[in-house]
Amino acid sequence: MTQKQVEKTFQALYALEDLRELWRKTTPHHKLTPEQKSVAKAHISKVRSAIDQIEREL
Amino acid sequence: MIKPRMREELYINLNPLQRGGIVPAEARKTALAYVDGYSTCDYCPGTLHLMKKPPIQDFLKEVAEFLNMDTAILTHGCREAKLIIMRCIATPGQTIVVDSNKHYTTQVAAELAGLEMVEVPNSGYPNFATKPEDYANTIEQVKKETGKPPALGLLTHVDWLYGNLVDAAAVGEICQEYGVPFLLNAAYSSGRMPIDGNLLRADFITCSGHKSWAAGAGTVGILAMKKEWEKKIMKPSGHYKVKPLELLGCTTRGTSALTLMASFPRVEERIKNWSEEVEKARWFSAQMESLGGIRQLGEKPHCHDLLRFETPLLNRIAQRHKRRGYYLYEELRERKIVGIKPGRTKGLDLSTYQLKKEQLSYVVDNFKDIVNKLSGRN
Repeated sequence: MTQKQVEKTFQALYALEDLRELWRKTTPHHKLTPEQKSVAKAHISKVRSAIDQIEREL
Repeated sequence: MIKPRMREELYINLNPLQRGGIVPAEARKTALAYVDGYSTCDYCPGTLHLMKKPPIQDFLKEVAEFLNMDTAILTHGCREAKLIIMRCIATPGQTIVVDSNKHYTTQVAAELAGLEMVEVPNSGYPNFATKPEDYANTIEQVKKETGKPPALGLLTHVDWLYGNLVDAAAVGEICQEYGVPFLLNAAYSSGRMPIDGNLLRADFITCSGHKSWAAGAGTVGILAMKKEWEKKIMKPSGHYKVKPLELLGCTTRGTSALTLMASFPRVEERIKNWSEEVEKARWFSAQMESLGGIRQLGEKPHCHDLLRFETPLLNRIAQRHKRRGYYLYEELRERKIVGIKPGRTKGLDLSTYQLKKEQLSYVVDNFKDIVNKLSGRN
């Protein structure tokens, strides 16, 4: 159980780094194209899913 | 708690020191996972460059191949690599030949190694160009003054002042003709553009991971060399046979080494787009000069993303502005543009590296806007 929670923690962190890269690519105004918005939502979904799984295991 | 640095996410950062060292997402993930002290050392074979897990030894072979040299090792930075080379192949009191546009760390390293330095002059204002043939003249001068050739010839491939790219192959050929070992300081070139050490006749190439290989998370450098120098550079300690003496045993043994490895695929790809980077820099320079009262220094056509401008136009505004020279930094920051030194208006250094054309257009438009607003041109 602990290994899975640790792995999910890293998954969440990694998805946030992907989101952060999107902010760097679109700086300074962060006007996202529809494709970029989909990508951002996908990253957020990964974070949420990972956190949900961690919480379920607690 | 230390506030997070969100500069790259919130602003367009023009700082020439920083553009080539911005770390891609995949390498940041690695940095995060390896952030603990001695993280490289879980399966230590005795010395860093022989590490198989993580695969540092294999990585260094790839780096040597990438640079078309025989061997590569990690150092704490480019300056440390230069010092190691100077200490290994020259003795205190000997003379080395360096370009006058050298980085200050070249001078400091030579000072620390107890070496005398003779400079190859540049062409002066406004180009400050280094002519390869002047290496021959300077080597002759050293021979005349000391009775023997210099112990080392060092070229700053792209200098930090004007962004001039020097014909390294020509310098390499001259050094080879004189039997002078050739050190190419590729801090601002390697990692941005293709470098072929064999073609350039380099005995040594020193690289900066945090400057041009997209490898922050600390500092990390590369020292690449021809096989004939391995014994000298890697000479082991008399007491600890597995530890190279000049490397103090092991060099960068943590997250910066892993970040360099993780960024490497991105670097291998991005050097293929170097001509586009040069095109963008030239475009940007032309746009800035079109404002009038702004002149790009250094060679033209310019061959690098590092640009230096003299800016009397912006300085004239500073003379009348209540915030003096700080107006420019503050106006730009308000417009989400950073990287220009606060207070400076007589001249600007900046880099366009890896910025998109739209972002550069935004920067140009805002310089125009600031000039129009504050110089009464409207």
